[in-house]
Amino acid sequence: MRVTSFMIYDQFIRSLQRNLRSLSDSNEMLATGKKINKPSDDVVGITRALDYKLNINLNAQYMKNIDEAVSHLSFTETTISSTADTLNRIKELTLAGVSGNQDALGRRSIGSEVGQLRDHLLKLANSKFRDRYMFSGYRTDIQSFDSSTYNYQGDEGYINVLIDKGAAVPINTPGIHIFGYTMAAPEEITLNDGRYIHYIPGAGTTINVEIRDTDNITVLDSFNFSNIMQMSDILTNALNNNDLTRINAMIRPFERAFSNVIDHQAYTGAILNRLDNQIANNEDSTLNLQTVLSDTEDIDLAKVISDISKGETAIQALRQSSVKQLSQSLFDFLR
Amino acid sequence: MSVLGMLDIGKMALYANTRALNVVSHNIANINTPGFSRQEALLTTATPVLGKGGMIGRGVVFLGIRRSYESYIQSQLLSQHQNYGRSYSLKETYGRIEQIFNEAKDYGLSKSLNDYFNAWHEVATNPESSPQRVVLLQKAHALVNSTKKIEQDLLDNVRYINDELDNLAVRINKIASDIATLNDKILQIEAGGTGTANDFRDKRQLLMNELGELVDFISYEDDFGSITIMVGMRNLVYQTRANELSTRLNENGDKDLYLDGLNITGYIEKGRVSGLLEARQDIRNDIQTKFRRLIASLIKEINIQHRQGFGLDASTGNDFFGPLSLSYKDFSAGADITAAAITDDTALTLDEYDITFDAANNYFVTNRSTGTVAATGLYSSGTPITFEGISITITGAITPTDRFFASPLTNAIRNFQVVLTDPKRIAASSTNTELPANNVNAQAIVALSQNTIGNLGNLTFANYYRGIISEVASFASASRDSYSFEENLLMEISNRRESISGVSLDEEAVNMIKFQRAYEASARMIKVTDELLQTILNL
Repeated sequence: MRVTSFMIYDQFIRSLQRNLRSLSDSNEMLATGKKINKPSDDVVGITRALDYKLNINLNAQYMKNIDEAVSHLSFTETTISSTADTLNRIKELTLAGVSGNQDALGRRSIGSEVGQLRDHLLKLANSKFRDRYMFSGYRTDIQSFDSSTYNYQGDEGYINVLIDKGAAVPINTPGIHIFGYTMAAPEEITLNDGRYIHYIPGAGTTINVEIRDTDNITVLDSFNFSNIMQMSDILTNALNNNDLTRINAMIRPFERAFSNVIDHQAYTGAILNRLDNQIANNEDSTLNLQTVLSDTEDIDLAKVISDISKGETAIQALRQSSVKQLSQSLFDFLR
Repeated sequence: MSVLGMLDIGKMALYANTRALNVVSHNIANINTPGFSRQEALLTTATPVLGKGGMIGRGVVFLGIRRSYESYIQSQLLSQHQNYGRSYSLKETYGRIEQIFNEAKDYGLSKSLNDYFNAWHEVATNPESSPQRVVLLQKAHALVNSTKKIEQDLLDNVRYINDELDNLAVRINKIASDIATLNDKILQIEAGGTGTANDFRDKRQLLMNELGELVDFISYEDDFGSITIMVGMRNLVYQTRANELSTRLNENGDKDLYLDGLNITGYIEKGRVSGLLEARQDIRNDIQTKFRRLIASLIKEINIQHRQGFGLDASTGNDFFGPLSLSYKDFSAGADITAAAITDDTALTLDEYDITFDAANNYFVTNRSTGTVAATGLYSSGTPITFEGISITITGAITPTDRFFASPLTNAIRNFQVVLTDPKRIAASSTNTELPANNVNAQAIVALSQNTIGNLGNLTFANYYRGIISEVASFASASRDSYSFEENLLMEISNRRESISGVSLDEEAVNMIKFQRAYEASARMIKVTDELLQTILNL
C-alpha cells in the first residue's frame, strides 16, 4: 500500500482526537463522580438506577410516614397508660367505697375524688395532638366526648398510614373502643343480700344494668352507661348518695374497663414495636439500594484516575512522535 | 540518421521532461487540495525510423496526463459518504433527544412524578391539614411544568429537524447546480477529443461525495462525460441542467421533500436527509406518542379516582387535572366534524383513530394502535358516531376518499393543567360523612403510583416512563455506535483512495530529481550535438 503525506497527517489528527475524546470522557466521570452521565452511556444501567432511586425515594417517604405514625401512637400510648392509672385508682376507690368501714361522709369524700378522676378521664379522652382530637376517629375536628353528657361524638374511622408497599397501620384508635367496651353476652351476679345485678349489652358500647330483687324478676333500679366517663359519673353520684348497691354494681364494669384499656395499651405497644422493626427494615433496604445504586452509577475512582494518566501519556507520546514524522520529507535533504 | 536528428531528440526530451516536471509541480501544489487525484505524465518513445542497421530511435514523446483514479473505490467512497451522512444525523438528533430525558442527572420527570405522589402520601397522613394540601397543589404544578418542558423540547427538536431539511435542500440545490456547470465544462473540454478534463472531474467527484453525505442518489455517466444524478427516481441533475429540490408542509406540519413536482420523501434511504427523516418519525410516532400516552393516562387515572372522593368542603366529582380533550383533523372536502368530545373517560383506550368510508356510505373507525375496527355502521350526516368513550358528529356529504382523524393524545400535554385551585377540594376522603380525617381516597390515589395501568400495557407509571428512557437511550447509544462504525469505515475507504490517488511528497521529490536530471542530460545532449556540428563546420 502506498502511503501518502495526507494519510500520515490524517492518522495523526484522528488518533489525537480519539485520545482527547476518551480523556474528556474520563474527566467528565471524575467531575461528576458518575459512570452514567447520559442515558446512552449505559442503557441497562440507567433504567436500573432509576428503579433504585424510585425505591430509595419511596423508602424515604415510608420513613416519614412511619415517623408520623410513631409520634401519633406514642401520644396514644401515653394517654392510654394515664387512663389505665386513673381507672386503677377508681377501682381502688370503689372497693374502699363498698367497705363496711365507710360511713356516708366518707363515701362523699371518696365521691368527690372520683368526680375529679372523671374530669381527668374526660380530659384524656378529649386529648388533642397536633390540633387533632386523637380519639374521634375520622372526625378529628370534633371533641371526642361531650363535656356534659359524656356521649361519644366521633366515629369509628381508623386513619391508616402506609408504612411499606401494601402495608398500613392505624395511627389512631376511635375513643369509643378505648373508653368504652363491649360485652359478648348478658351477665348476672348475686349480691350478699340475695339481690341480683344484671349486665345486659345494648347498642354499641351501651351496657344496661338492672338491679333485681331476690326473686330475680322485680327490677328495683336500672341505669346504663357506654363509657368510663359515664361510669365514673354514676359512681360519683352513687358515692355521694351513699347508694351501696350501685357502688357494688360498678365494681365489675370498672374491672372490665380496666382490662380493656390495658389490652389497648398492649395493642398500641405492639404496633409501635412493629414500626420499630419496620424502621430497621426500611433503613436496611435503603442501604442495600444505595449500595447497588452506587455500584451501578458511581465511578471506580482509582480506575478513572489511572485511565486519565494513561490517556495523558498516550497523547504526549503521540505528539512527540508525530512532530518528528510530520516535519520531515525528502525535500529536507535536497540541497 | 543525421547529427541534426539528435538535436531533435534533445529538443523533444527537453520538452517532455519540462511537461513531466510541470505535472510534478501541479501535484505538489495540490497536495492538500481535497478530492485531488495525483497526476502522472505519460511518456513514450517516438516512432522509430528504419535506417541502415535496423530501427533507429527518435527520442521521447509526451503523450498526455493521466490521473490516478479507481472508479470502484470512488463508488465505494460515495456510498460510504451516504451511510456516514445518515448515521451522523441520527447520532446528532438522538444525542439531543437523550439530553431531554437526562434522568442521569436527577432532574428529569421521575423526580416530579415521585414528588407528586409523595405529596399525596403527606395528604393521606394529614388529611385535615391545610399545608400538606397546598404543597400537593404546588407539586402538581411542578409536574405539569416539567412535563410541558419535555413536550416543548421534543417539539423544538422536530422543528429543528424541519429547518435543517430546508437548509439541506438549499445545499443540495447548490451542489446540483455546480455539478451541472461542471458537466458543461467537461463536455466542452472532452468533446474535442484532446484529453480528459482531469481537474474538473476531480471537482465533480468531490461534489458528488458531498452530495452523497446529504442524500442518496443514483448516478451514471453518459458517453460524453456528463453525469446524471437521480434522487428518489427523479432527475436532480441531467446533463447541464439541475432541477430544484423543494420542501412543503405535510398534514402533520412537517416538511416533505419534492423534486420535479413529486413527493420523494419516502424514497430517500441514506444521507443526512434520511437520518433526519427517520429520527423525526421516531420522535413523532414513538417517543412523543408514548410520552403523551403516559401523561394522558396519568390525567385519566388521577381524575377518575379523584372524582370519587370528597373534599374537606364535602364537594365531590371534581377533576384534579384538566380533563382530556379530543383533537381531530379533517381530510374531507364535503363534510366537517361538527362536534367531537370525550363522553366517558373511563372507557378511553388512549389510542388514536382514523375514520374512513366505503362506497356504500359505511363508516369505519379504526384504532391506529391495534388496527382493529372500533365501530362501523351506515353514515348519516349529523348523527353522532360513538365508540370507546368518544363521540364524533360528522355533518355533510362524504366520499370514499374522505378521512378523519381523532386523538385524545395530541393535546394531552398542551392542555395539561391543574384545575383544582382550592386545597379544600382535594378529595382525600371516600365519604362526605367521615370528614375531615378520612384518607381512604388519598390512599387510593397513592396506590395508583404502584398499580399497573391497563392503558400503559399493564405497567406502572414509573415503569412505563422507564421504558421510554431506555428506548431513547438505546436509540442514542445504537446511533452513536453506528456513527463511529460508519466513520471508521469512511476513513478506511478514504485511506484506500488516498493510497491510490493521494500525493506523496517523497515520491514527488524523487520524480522531480528524476525529471530534472533527465532534463539536464538532454540539454547536455544538445550541447554535444552542437559541438559535433562545430567539428564538422570547422573542417
